[in-house]
Amino acid sequence: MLEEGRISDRQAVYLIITSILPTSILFLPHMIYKGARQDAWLSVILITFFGLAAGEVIGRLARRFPAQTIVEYSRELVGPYLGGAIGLLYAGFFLYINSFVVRELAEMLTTNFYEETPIVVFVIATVFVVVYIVRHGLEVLGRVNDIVLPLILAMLGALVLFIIPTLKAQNFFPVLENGVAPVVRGGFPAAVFFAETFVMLMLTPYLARPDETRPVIAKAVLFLGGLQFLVILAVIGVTGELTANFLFPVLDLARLIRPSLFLTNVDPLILMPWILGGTVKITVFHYCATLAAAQLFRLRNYGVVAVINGIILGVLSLILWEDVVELAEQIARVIPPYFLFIQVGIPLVLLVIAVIGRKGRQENAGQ
Amino acid sequence: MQVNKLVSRIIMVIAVVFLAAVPGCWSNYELERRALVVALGVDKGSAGRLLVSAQMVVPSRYVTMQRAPGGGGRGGEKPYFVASAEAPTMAEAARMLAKKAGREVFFSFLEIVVIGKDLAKEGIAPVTEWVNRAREQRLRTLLAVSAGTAKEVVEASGAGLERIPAAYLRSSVLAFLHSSSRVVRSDFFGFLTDVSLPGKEPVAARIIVSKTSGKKQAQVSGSAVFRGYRLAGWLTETETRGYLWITGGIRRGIISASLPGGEEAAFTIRGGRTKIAASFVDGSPVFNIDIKMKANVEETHDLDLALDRPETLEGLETIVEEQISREVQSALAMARELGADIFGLGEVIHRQCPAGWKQICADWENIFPHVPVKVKVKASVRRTETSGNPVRPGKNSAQAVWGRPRRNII
Repeated sequence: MLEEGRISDRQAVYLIITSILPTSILFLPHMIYKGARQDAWLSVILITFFGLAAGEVIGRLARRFPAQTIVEYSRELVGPYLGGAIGLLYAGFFLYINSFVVRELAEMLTTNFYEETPIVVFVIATVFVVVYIVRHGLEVLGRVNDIVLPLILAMLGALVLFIIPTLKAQNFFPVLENGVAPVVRGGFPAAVFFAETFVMLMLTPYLARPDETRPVIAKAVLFLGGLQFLVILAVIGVTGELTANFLFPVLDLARLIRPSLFLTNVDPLILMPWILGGTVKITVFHYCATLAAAQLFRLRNYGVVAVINGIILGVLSLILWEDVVELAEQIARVIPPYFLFIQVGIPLVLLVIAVIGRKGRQENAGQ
Repeated sequence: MQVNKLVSRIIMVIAVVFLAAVPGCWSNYELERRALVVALGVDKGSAGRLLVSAQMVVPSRYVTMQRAPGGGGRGGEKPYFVASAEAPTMAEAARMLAKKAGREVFFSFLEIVVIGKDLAKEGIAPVTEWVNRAREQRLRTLLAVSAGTAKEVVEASGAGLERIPAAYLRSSVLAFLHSSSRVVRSDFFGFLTDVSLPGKEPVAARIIVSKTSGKKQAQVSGSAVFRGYRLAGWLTETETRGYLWITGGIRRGIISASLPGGEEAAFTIRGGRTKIAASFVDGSPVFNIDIKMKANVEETHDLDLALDRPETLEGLETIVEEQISREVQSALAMARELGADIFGLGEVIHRQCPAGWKQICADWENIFPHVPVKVKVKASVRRTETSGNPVRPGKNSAQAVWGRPRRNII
């Protein structure tokens, strides 16, 4: 086995949350608001249901193949060649989606806080830490996250608490001004984020109880949906129409609060948990990418792959996009259908094949 | 084994060397190397350029002054420095200020931005755009319009009880709002929000410069009305309060009104709530503004007023209601004259009758000045503070016990 470590159900839930939360809180409010305006909160509810449905597909696949990753069971389902191609696709996709995340985090840091630091510094620093953690295995990653996630939640909680007095109820009206279409349009870019539970396609065999994948994903998605809901309420209620103009509404919220007469300019405080959370998120994806590549080439050790993948990741994140506008445009408009196909579409097809071909462990129907 | 040990030692040494470079962040600027801009004035410069004046704190002098008894400081040096620069854009002007100050300018502690009247008439988008985009800026920075030039406001040295004029201006806006409700607390965030809404126009505090104890001192006086990014006109302090009644921004304050006998009386505002309802009558919008407020009797010049009688308080309520109505109507009249929907009535329709709003929103600018608005005020005078009837000359207490004196009941 490549990975000897196991993580508990709780750690898996935490890992999923941290591997979605940092970027979804930071980028989604602006994207959802642009499409759905004051009904953005409805989009969040919609997208939570979508997240649950996507989780259902992944969870059912996990029930059939509790001891294998998608790289392994796709060979079993569609033959060595097509299966190998699917494995290669996932190994590459985890790298590709991760390069988005690395660049997003680095762009956020340069834009908001470190004006004179070249972006390559953040990319190298991040990749270095990420490769280091990945080489120590999944258990270490799980424990790192046990520290990181409470910090993020505490910071977000404090932010929402301080922002409550400035909420304006009128910002939420009129409800459904232009019908349901904008709500769906707003949820569209968010779908990719809520389908990121697909990391479980790679992580299921390393759960202490692999059969728990379905409830694990469901818990994580519900928690994320609730949190995203609170954040979008705060954003609509406070920044209202300006949300469409702010690139990072949550940071603007942090800039608007003055917790007391003496404590002003607190926004750098929210930076710390963000870097931690972003790093964990990138680590989870990098772990999946590395594991997929190692399994694809049937290696006994993934240490070297982690390093090579890390270098590719750093380079990709730097060369794929010219500027931040191009990056945002791709995330919001270009990638969703393709990403959703890989995150949910292929697993759905595999699941159908498995059900028809009675492959994998049979689900005991009727229970 | 030996080689491994050697390699790890080399790595160790390299790591320590790198570590030594870590504590000093690169591209850092210490506080003493920065000029902290606390107030910024923007005027129309020559040839379409912007004239930017800045009030910058000198931290070392500020500290010295704090320690020195009497507040004179070292050689009477001011704890701040004022400079101006002219450039086509805000960002460029900010860099030129650095040249005059001899330090990097830093805007994180900016308290207030004042716009000169002439620039405001042409539109303040260059200023708001720059503030909104820059990472150092906070949108909670106050935004005000000078009745004259912004430069004279920034240069005015009077600081009230504060040490820095900018700090005085900020606290003066806030204190005056809280104690009198005759000024708007206008910041960039509120301004940009109102500008972005199709059915609402922004309002900002108006600042004038006058002489106070021998020094030129800036102070808030009324407010500036915008149409989009352009200054459209002014509201007096009374009209500003009318505006606050309608928009629900009332805090505390004094209402002075004449009693039926001609004497004056003062009431303290103890909070108010406003509800605006929009409806469509024959296809055109109609508004009902419903104001409920509480007041206490603060002062009466009519010594015969029977403040121990419930009927009197009811009569006083009518007087307060009429006074508030006058304030509200004056604000409405001014807004209509300027053709600027500062109350956000358009947004009220937008929220309450979205379908109707879609039909009229394009033409709202022309509809607003003629739209019918009904104002209903309900005041409740609850308390007479720590005194009952006014103290009258003569046998005050005896009369109260033995026979009812002449009392005015309204």
